Amino acid sequence: MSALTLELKNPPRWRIDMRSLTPHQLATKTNKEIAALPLYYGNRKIQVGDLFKISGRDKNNLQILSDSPKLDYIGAENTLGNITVEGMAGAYAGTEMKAGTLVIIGDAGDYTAAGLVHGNITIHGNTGNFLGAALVGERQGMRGGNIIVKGNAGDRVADRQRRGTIIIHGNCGDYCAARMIAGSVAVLGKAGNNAGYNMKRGSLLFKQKPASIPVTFNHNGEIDLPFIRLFFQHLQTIDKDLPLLSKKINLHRYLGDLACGGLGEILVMSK
Amino acid sequence: MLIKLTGGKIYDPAHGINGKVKNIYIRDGKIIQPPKGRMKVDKEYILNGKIVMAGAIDLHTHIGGGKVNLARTLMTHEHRTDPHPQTTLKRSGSGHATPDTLSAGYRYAEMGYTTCFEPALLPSNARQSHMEMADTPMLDTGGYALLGSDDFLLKMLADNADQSAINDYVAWTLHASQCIGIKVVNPGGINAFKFNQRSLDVDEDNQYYNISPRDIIRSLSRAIHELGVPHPLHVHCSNLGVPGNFESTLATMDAAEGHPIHLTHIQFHSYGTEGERKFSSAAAQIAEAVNRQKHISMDVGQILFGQTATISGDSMKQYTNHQHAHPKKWICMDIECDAGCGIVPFRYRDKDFVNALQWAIGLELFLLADDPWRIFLTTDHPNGAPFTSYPHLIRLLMDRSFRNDMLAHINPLAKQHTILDTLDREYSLYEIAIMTRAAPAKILGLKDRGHLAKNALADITVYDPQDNIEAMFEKPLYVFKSGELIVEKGQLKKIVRGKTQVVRPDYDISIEKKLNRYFNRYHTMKLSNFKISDDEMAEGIGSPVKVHACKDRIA
Repeated sequence: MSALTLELKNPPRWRIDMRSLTPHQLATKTNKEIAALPLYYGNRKIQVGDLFKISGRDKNNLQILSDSPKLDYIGAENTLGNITVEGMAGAYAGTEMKAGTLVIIGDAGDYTAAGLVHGNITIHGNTGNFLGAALVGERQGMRGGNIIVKGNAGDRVADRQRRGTIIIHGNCGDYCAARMIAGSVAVLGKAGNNAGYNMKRGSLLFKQKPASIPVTFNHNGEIDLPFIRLFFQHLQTIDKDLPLLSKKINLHRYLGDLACGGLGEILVMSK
Repeated sequence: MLIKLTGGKIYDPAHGINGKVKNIYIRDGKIIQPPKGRMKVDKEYILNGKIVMAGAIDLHTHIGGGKVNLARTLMTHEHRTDPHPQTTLKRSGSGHATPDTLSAGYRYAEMGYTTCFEPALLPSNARQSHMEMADTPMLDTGGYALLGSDDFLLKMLADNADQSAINDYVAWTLHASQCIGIKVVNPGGINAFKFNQRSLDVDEDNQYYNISPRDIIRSLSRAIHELGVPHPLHVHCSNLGVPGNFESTLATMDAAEGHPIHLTHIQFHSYGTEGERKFSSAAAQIAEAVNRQKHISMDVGQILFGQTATISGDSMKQYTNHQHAHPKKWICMDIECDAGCGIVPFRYRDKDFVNALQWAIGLELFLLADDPWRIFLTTDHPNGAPFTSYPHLIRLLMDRSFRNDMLAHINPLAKQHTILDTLDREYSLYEIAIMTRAAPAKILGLKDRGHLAKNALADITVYDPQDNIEAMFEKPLYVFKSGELIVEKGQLKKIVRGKTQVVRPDYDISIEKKLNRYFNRYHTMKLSNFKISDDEMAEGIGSPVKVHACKDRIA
């Protein structure tokens, strides 16, 4: 059976709210019923069939063909199955997702995977700001699950993160893991200013030293942590593409944010 | 244009009409006498068997002002998940317990409401509140100015100022803030909170000014009476939500010393301390006291189960309540040193003992109050429940078997502690028409609405009778606003804008001399900027004023 495929007919003029199009809501519906489902298009309500060509019958695998960055909330609150976006996703992709996988082949917008509860999200392109962060007005960011970004991420990655793992192969912007409650973030490229600002607990792993670390972090010196090899092994179970850590290395460890209890750590692999 | 409503059953308690079949004629937005002789009728609605009432009036609903806006920003989840799409008529919006202004106006009109009052309009925030209400379509609006914790009044009371000077200040406030009444919230308590008092009983002194809530209630209710303002002092009593607070509610009734007062969301002030959980219903004591004292009126502030947000000027009690916040976030703040503001999201659960009993206490109050002219149907939107649940509440009052079905589902311990199952009373349509139309118009001094006789505004709601009362009140057949058809079969037909309802008691302008000195020394704005003129209301704010008559000033 081929995957249920939604293909944009024309480039949309307004933003599209894709919240209602997730495998767990479509499982029992026929393609005709799906075409008649209501869909928010800008501030109006239209039908799915007005914007999308629908084909395929495997409701557990949803494929979205999009060359527009205006498809918001793809996979939000989904609880089962796999979603693949062949092209770009808009803002809020995978927010509060409870289970399943979401793969975005192109770029994703702001608030990708914000408030993620469980499941795996992979973005092959770049993402905007607030990756895995808390939705506006919420007190916790992602609470579980794994996020892999092959490209770059914007500012405030993992803002208020509570649990779960984020791996970024490219660079990240300023305020990485700001206000983090707990969880893990690994950045293999460069990181911007104020990494770990106001973090309570959690681990941040940087390949290079971030542009700046707040003054409320204490440098613990250059040390050999056996933990780092276990950590890498764990990261590799999530992301097979992660380069192996072959030789023994010494890490610079920074403890903080002392303004918020100081139980978090920033680990820097090279100066 | 002459419009004729033919053959409807009229419920017009202001004129004692209970279900009589009568024709109504409308011309130029008003109801007129049946024209003599032959006249060309431009539009006729055949309403055989339909129920005709005046447009409903909500005298206590938080729909405008700073705290409503703060609540909207706090309740992001409901705005994210409850979008209201744009249609050919309506603009888009969002939210349920804290809807945007447009959605609130549309939904009120769709339920047959035509006039609504914001009960906590802080004079220093009056401009913004009126702007928000002007942005609420379909409705005539108005506000009650908040006094009682402002330093100017407390200083006057502490200095034993002459009552006539207090009367002048109250009247000046009504003029300056373009309001129709005065409300007092936790009298003196919001101010006492700033001096680290965490509770204030009716006879307890504010530590800084050495005056008690009793003094404030006495002088303000007297001021309202002497100025001839139709709406009695609107009182949010001390000790909101505290078990055993019915005693301070009874003390507040005494404090008015016979002057008319209106006790608002009284359900939150009718709690006893009996039983193993030290929380019980005191609805019987409160209802008995109100039944006995004809100068007292009340609105209920019924709670209904579900998620909502509580928003109040009572920062003292909201600070205490923050531990019950759901979701766990809240706001408490001072506003211009004149009042406070507390916002605590809340989820009322039917399986929770306290919440279930609160629900029962509200209904007990409704059913034990003898006189529907002195009890009003409110949920203190959104504190007890969003106003959209009014049809459900009306069904609870009119349908005993439905009420008992609901009662069967609540917390079993709470069920043992309420006498609700022994109350057989069912409200009639006539009594509902009193509570939601005739009585609010009467107590607010609105002579031009709430009834269906000659010269009334043609604000009319027509219902299609159904077995399910809730469905009937949810979707009126027709709603007319000033003679224009605005809703048909529960769907909006036309967008209209309302006016701001105000009263203008006489006062001695020389009070401004004293106020000017006070403003220059302590306030963040000049007195001249504080006052809102009629021109500004009409042109800047976009809601022209409609002045209602006061009685003559006595002192």
